[in-house]
This record gives sequence, structure tokens and C-alpha cells, in this order.
Amino acid sequence: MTSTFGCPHCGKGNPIDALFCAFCGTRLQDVETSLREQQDQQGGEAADEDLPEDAPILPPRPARRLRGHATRPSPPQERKIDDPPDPEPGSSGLHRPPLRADTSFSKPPSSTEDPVRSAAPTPTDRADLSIPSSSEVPNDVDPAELAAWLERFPQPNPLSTPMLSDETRRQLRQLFVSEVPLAEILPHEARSDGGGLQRRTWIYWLLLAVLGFALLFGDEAPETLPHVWPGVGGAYAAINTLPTGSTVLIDWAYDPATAGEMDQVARPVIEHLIAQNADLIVISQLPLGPASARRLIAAAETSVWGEITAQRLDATLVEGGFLPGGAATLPLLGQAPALGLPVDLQGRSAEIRPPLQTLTEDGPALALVISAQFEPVQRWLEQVQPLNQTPTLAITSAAAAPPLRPYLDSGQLAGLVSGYNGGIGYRQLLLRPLARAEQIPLWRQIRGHNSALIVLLIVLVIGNLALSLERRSL
Amino acid sequence: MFSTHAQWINRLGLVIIFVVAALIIASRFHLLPGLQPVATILYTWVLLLAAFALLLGIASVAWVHLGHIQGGEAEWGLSLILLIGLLGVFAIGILSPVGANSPLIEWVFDALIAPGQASLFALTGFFVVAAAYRYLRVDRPDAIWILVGALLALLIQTPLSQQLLPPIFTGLTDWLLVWPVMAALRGALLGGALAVLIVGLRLLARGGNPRP
Repeated sequence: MTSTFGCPHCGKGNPIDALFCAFCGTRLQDVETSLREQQDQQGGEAADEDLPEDAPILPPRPARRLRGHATRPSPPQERKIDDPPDPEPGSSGLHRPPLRADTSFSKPPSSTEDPVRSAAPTPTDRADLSIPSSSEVPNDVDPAELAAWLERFPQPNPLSTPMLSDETRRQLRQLFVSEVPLAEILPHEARSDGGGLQRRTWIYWLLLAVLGFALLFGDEAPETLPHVWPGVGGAYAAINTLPTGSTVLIDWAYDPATAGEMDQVARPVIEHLIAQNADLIVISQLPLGPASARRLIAAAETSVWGEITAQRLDATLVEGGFLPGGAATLPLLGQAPALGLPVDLQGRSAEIRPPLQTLTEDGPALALVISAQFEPVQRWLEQVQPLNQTPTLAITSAAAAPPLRPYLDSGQLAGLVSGYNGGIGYRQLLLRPLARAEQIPLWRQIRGHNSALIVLLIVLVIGNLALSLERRSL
Repeated sequence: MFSTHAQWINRLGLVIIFVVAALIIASRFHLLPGLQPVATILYTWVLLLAAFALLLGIASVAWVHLGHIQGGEAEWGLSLILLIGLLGVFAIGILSPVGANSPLIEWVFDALIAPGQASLFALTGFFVVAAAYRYLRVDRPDAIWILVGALLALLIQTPLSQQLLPPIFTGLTDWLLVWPVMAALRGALLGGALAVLIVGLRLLARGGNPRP
């Protein structure tokens, strides 16, 4: 085991030959060098004769590095140079060679073993910490160099530093040591790219290789489908019972960033609504939401009716556009939809668009919130649903589903379709398979997702193995 | 939000906030008759303010980046590209007879915006895996619970494991999701809502000063 000693500033253990403290950055070499130079300049025994009898003596070179400073140096007749003093209670057991009491200028500011104590010196230590006057400084020491060296260390200010008990200081140091490590590895062990399991690039390459393999060779249907969480059946039943020509208000709260998953979730639901001949009124509080909605709805129309024309899409879809203001403007959709959606994206008012007129007079028959996060759904349930009491469905990503379970359980949500697995489960209820050309990308996505999950499991196992190896190496 | 110099501005702002909040609450809970039209007017004002704020934000972005270009600051070329894109798409939308449904704007969305956003978001997957390697470890008691929950959810989600594991694991995960997880989240949602309410009331009571 490598010999270690404590940093005079923070108290953390460092190898005996370390140049800097690995945790606070204090330059350690200067402490010993300055003391050695001081000792050499004073001429060894001649300097010893000039010093007070109770002055501690530094160990000879290459003795242990200076660490802390004893507040109560033992009498010279009881002390030997090479014998380490007994460790004080509460210390870490590291050797702390005694110091010269009058050479406080050559010591780091902490005159005791406890670096926390150094910030708040006791009255008995203040004499040790005080900067010596010019008469006390040996003539052969450059005062400018001395002052420059002293400036490296923080000077304790008894007036501003609170006096803490030993127990409090110990707890504080333990707190900082255990919870907020300043450095994780020692400098001489640090490598630019890490070593072995410490390398992170292998994770990225492994994930990239697995995803690439799944995307390139995942044209076959998977053997099993992913598990479907509860809530899909309620959403299917709510849409299946809609009368033909019902007005459905949709809050499109995702954009192309999350379209990779959300398109898989939302498409079967939109197809079901189109098959029910529902009139869709789409608004979004994201700037790119309306464009994302238009594309998915056009693709769903093509899937349901085989081909799509602009007239048919225009008859089915009312684009309300972007609604700014966040949660503050949502109540308009529940309280006064005519003010929230006065015209569609093409500038046509409710007089021309019957769905808008129905929305204004009777309110929507069903509300959908399609979001990658749970906050838009929560805002809708808080701001809109209490005003119009419309049944609401949530179409969300897998990550947003757990916080919405309480709303599903309480009945505020009539159904919840979450994750691409929820989309697959919903499509199974629809009994409307995708065309072959559209199934292949879905299969690739399923295989890629499954492969990524397996990689994540492998990474978790390897990470914990690395933890056990790190502990053994320490 | 609150001025540190003129007290009367702070007071005026607090009065406005308090009056508006009282009107909205009274309208929502039907405490006083005839308040719904007042609340509707307030919502429309918010809508107008939000739209104006959006335009102001766009103008501010353009102004800042124009300053970068004029000052020749670092990466002024990126600012120039941003301004060109901003003005170009705006001009296309204004000049096109179909507005935002212009084929050119749709091409910009399909070819540039959508793939770019999707690519940037896809990078988070790599960071999530690297973070899982580093932090989902059993060296602390709380991390063990997180790791167990994450492993259980991942195993259930992976179709391959469904072939290998007995169905009881799927039932166990469903039970965990429906009962203990939902109970915890219900408490978290309620606690969060109460915390927001209390903090808001305290802020109003202290005259906008968050500190006692």
C-alpha cells in the first residue's frame, strides 16, 4: 500500500510523492521545499540553537513530508527527531511531524492537523499563525519571496470565521469528503482515455453497431411483440363508441424531435378516428406541431382510404395552427373555443368550417392530447377539461406514462396509449395491418429498440462489474 | 421580474397579479356570477401578449445576431446563416399564396428541420446509456432501488425476455406500476401542486421578495 499523507489544506490523503493535492489542488512540494530551504539556510544545528527550546524539529531528508502542524509541540527532551508523535484523537492516523513554533511563516496556514480548524484558529494557535515581524525573519530569507509564498495560502480571519466545535468540523469534513468529491482519481492514475472498463467510447460504438445491425438486417417480423401497458383498451373503447361525424379536438404537443416514437403511438389512433369519420380539429402549442400533425394525418388518411386528395384531407382536418401562451391560454379552448380558434390556418372562420361551429356551440365530443411529455396532458386536464367536461385521451411516450397513471385511475383520463408498444397494441385492436412497405420500418424500429434495450442491460451489468473491480483495486 | 429600485412598480405589479388571480379563481369556482366573460377577456389578453412576446423574441434574436455580424464577433458566420434562414422562410411564407403550406416551406421542414431535430434528439440515447453505465450502480442504497426498477422495466419491455421469463414477471411489473408506483406519483403530484400554491401565496404576501 502506498504511503500517504494528508493535505494541509483539505486533509485528504495523497501519495507521499505527490506534487499537488488531488482534491483541492494545493501545491504540496512547496511546503517541504520551503521548510528544507529554511532549515538549510539556518545552518542546521546553529539554527537549532537560535530557536526556542520548545520548537519542534523537522525530520531529516528524505523524511516524511510536512503535513499538519501540532498545536501543542512536545518538550524537546521527550521528543526524538525520527520518532513520529502519537496521533491525536480523531485524526486519520497519519504521521504529523512536529514543526518549529517560530517559523510559522514557513508553514501552511493550518497549524493543526484538522484543515477545518485552520480556518478558525483557536486563541492558542494565533501566535503560530501570525506572520512574523521583520525582526523575527532570518536575514538571509528574502522577504519578497516569503511574502509571495505566503500569499498562496488563505489567511485565516478570526473575525469573520465562525468558531465551530470539533464535532461540527469533523462532520463538515466528512460531509464534503463523502458527498462532494473534488476529484475521483489521483493525478498519476489519470489517463486521457481511461483504462479498460473506464473507457466510455466502447459504449457508444457498441450501441451504434447494434443499432446499425438492427436497422440494416431487421426486415423480418419479430418473434414476439413488446408488452402493452394498461390503458390501451379504454382509449380504443372511447373512440369506437364515437358517433359518425363527431368533432374531436386534438392538442398536438410533439414535434419532429420525438416523432420517431410518437408517430408510432399516434398513427393507429388517428387511423381509428379517420375510420370513424370524425372531424379533427388540431391545435398545437409548439411551433412545429401543426406541420408534424399534418404529415401524420395525411399518412393515416392514405393508410385508411388508400389514396388521399387535398379536398378529402381538408374536409377531415381543421388546422387550428399554433396557440401561443402555454397554460394561460388553454382555458380559452374550454371556455370560449370561438375566441381560441376564430379561424383555421387558411383563414376560414366557423361560418365556413362546420367543425369549428360545432366546437363553438356544442364543444368537442372527445379530446386527445398527443404529447411526448406528461406536462401538456396535465395542463389540459387542469385548464380545459374542468370547463367543458369532455372525455380526454392521452397519447404519450413511454416515459410520460407513469405520472399519468393517477389521472387514468381517477377517471380524468378515459384512456392512455403510451410508447410504441402501446401503438402496436392499439393496432392489434384495430385489426388493420399496415402495408408491407410500412411494416418493414416498424419491424426495424422494434428490433432496434429491442437491441438497444439489450445493450442497456449489458451496460448496466458491466458497470456494476466495473464498480466491484474499482473497489478491489482500491 | 421585480424592480429593485422603484417600490411602486413592485406594488403595482403585485396588485395586478392579485386582482387577476382573484378574478380567475372566482370565475373558475363560480363564486360570483357574471365573471366568466371577464375571465374570457383576460385569457384573450394573454393570448395577444403571448403572440406579441413571440414576435418580440424573434426580433430580439435577429437584432442580437445582426449585432454579431456587424461587430465581426466569433462565429459570425453562423449568425449570418441564421438570419438568412429566418428571413428566407419568412419571405417564402409571406409571398406564397398558400402561406405556410407552401411546397418550399414544406421542403424546408421535411429536409432540414425534421431530420435535424430528430438527429439531435437521437443523440440523447447515447448519453443515457453512458450515464446508466456510470450512475446506475449498487454502491448506494438508493441507487439499488433505482437499478432494480430500471432492470424490471427493461426486462418486461424487451420481447426476448418475455420468451424466457415466466408470465409472473409481467404481472408483477403491472402490479408495481398500478399500485405502489402510482401511489407514490399521486403523492408527488399533490405535493408539487400544494408547494406551488404555497410558494405563490408566500411570494404575494411578502410583496414580491422571495426572502424573509
